[in-house]
Amino acid sequence: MANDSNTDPLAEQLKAIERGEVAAWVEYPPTSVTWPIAYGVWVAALVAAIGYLGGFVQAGAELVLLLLMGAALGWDRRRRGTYPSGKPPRDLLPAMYKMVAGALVVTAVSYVIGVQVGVWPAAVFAGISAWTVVYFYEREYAAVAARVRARLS
Amino acid sequence: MTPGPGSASNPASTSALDGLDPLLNAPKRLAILAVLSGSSSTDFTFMRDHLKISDSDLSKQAAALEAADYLSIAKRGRGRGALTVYKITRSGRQAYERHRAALRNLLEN
Repeated sequence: MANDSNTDPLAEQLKAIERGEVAAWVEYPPTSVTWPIAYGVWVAALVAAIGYLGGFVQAGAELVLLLLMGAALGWDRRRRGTYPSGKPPRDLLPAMYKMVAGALVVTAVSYVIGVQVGVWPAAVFAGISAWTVVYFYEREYAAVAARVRARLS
Repeated sequence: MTPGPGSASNPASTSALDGLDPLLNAPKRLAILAVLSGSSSTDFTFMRDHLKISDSDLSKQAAALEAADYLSIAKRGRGRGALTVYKITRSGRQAYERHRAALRNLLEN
């Protein structure tokens, strides 16, 4: 990239396109191990707020949690220097689908536990399982991103 | 097809070269728009590290794209912690997609 002259300008331009379009998806500093834990705590707090609190207190707690999530995403965006948008690279789709499926299962099972057993067991289950889902998602995503970077380097 | 500010000089041409934008023939400038096409916005440090070019070179390439209204440059904060953020414009996205399609055409024909 440091030199514009090249024996095959067309190939060079296509490579620049391919690398550039996925850059925001696959070039990022390592995610801290505390991120899945923090996410699990956040989910547990959300379930507890929904199931245990009511009225304005519940609305206030949910607002605080949403603001916290917004602040965390803003921090992550500044840390990365960019944020992906649009269609993700095909390589990353399996990890994303698994994460969405995991989130749906966690939501459904947490709801059943909340109704059948109680709010606190549901919150604990949701927190631990969300932590697990995010941990495995981050791990798979990082492995795929590393493969994509290697392929395009 | 509306030619962009840096489009080819012969508007009557209907060859496979149609859509190629001379401004984007430089791989660095093309790469900048490629990164911005896949992100909501991108800061100076990320872009410089991705392109593996110097600060001054990136500033020069970005200024050329800004002059063509292909990207916008925003400064956030002041002093040493100030952040330069790039965002692709609508005309930049159109020019990029035209250029990209023309390259693919060239490759296929």
